[in-house]
Amino acid sequence: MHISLTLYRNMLPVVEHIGLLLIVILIVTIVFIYCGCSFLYLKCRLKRFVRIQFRKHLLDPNNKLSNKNLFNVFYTKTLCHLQKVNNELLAKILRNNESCAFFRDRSISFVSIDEFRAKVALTTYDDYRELC
Amino acid sequence: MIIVNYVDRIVKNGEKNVLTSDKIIYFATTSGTTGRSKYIPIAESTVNPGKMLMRLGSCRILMCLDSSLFPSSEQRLFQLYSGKKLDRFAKTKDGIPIGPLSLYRSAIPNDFLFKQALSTYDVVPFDLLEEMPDFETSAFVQLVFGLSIVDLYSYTVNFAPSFIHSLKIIEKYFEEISLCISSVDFQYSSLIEENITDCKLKSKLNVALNEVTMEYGGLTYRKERSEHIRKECAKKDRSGLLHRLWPNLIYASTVLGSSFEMYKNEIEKYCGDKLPLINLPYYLASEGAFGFIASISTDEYFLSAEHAFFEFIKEEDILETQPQTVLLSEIEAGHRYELVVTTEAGLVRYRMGDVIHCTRFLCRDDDDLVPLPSQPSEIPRIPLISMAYRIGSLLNVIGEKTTEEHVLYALQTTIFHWKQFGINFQLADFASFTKLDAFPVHYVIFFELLGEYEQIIADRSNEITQRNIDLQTEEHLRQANDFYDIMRDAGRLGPVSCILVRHGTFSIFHEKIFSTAGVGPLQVKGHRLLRQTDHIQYFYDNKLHLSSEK
Repeated sequence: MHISLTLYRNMLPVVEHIGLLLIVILIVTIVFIYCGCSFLYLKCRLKRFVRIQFRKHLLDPNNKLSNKNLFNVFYTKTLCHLQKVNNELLAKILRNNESCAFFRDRSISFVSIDEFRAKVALTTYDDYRELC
Repeated sequence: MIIVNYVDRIVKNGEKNVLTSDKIIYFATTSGTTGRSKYIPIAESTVNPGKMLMRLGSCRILMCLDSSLFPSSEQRLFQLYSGKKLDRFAKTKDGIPIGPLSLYRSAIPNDFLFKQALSTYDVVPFDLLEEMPDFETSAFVQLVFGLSIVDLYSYTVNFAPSFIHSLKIIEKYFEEISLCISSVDFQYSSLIEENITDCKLKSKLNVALNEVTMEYGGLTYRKERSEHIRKECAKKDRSGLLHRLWPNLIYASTVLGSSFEMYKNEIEKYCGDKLPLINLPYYLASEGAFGFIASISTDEYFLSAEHAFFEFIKEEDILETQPQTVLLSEIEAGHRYELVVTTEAGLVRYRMGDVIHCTRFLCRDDDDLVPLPSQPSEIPRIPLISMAYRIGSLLNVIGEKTTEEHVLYALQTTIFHWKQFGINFQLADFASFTKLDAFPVHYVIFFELLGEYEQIIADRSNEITQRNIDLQTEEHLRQANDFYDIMRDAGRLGPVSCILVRHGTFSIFHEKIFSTAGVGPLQVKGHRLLRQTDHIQYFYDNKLHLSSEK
């Protein structure tokens, strides 16, 4: 009985320590989980905030403001002068590419739209892997 | 005979200055008529103008919509993408990637800012999509992410058949999708479990899904969202699924012109009354970006004179090899033309095979167009065009453009091989359709033979089995259309189903059921592409039942 009592007395601080340790572990775990979740939550909310601000300040105003202007500029500069713009593009393409093999082999160069259409044959994909 | 193959000189030899002095950054593969894919060069100088055209298209949609509908900065857009790691692309000798246009975003390196800008609209991190093993799985993943976000402003799938198929995926897998979202775990998806073996990839998907949903509120949000999806998808007979799933959607978009018009009614059912269905905002082909949307209520485009030099062949002259052409300023409203382009990438007077319809000229008074600038007061001649059809194109789910010739070759070669069994028949006729509610989507071809074949086929049930016909037709179709082959390998299409019908099926169909009214002279023979469910059912009803085993 005495031995048991002595043992109990000796063990009590140890048990108390273990209990304390368990409580500490539990608290740390809870804090860890809570912080972990909160960290992820905060990270995601921050990501969302950055994404929205990026759109709000950099992309959307650009779209909103220039929405009409973008089309209007295109309308005035390009759509209202379709053939002229198209002819200029052809001249640019032919000038840039006249030294290329396909153009050299077929003597394609820019003179005038009518001459280009008269002299250069229509092509299909086979012309780009033709037999001669 | 020397083969002067300009494309091969670039692809195999790495030669420069062959077709263009510009830097070629990608070869877009597209379907050819003779089996081999076409490699269409895309030049670096066309990238920025192409982006501008897309911006013009999107802006044009928003201009046409009520200004109060402009999407908020919080809203994202759903666009069904294909992705692939750059190191998995086939490449030219010089390292230029080769692949379908749909993989353009993966193939072309964008600068950091542009990538960031794009990612603010994306529902799923694009680098994850590039790791997906096949398109079906990728589409499923994108739909799970898309559905996990309540606040989307647009739903876009480029090709109309793929648009419908994406919704069939939702309808089929909504229970699994809901579970994946509520638990942020893809283990509840049979498709993912079957197709993704890489645990790291699964884990990355789960983390990404968790992060996306966390932005909207975590567990409670996920549970509510998944319950909403489950509830709405369970209402089988109600239209407007898209609007019901994403109430803030402003519009849905897909290609509606040309042969895709046949899918419009079905797509409109998914949109319902409240969600506008809009044609794809830009006219995009492997050969280039050629136009942008003119109106949200029609399928008309403006052609962009800055992107290609355009010529037009009148529809009645298309069969000639070197017909006269007319220019942009000369085309007439109400007429159809084959498009001819000269591009910066080195295509010269190139016949596209696309037949366009010049619908009308731009006019201030038309109600379905937005107001135009006041100057110039008199509007010059600005044609609006819509896609009429693609010459010879029969089945086209994701740009594979399978033609009548391809299917004919596949069927005839299959039947020819029966000679080894002493069975000598010839093809009488065929009809086809795309089965969009199959996973993955696949073609169904009905065919009939000449003569009295039913008994002979029945007697040879050991050799002529359903399985053999399917396998052989599939093999020959893959040989005939290289691009179909690529799409099959990529898992974007399933194997063809080839059904022999009873003798006389086609003659009854022509006499009593099918009307040829409204079919253009160069379009595929009308009956070859079945559009109506009762027509399809008629062919199924006349199926000749073959032995399925060998």
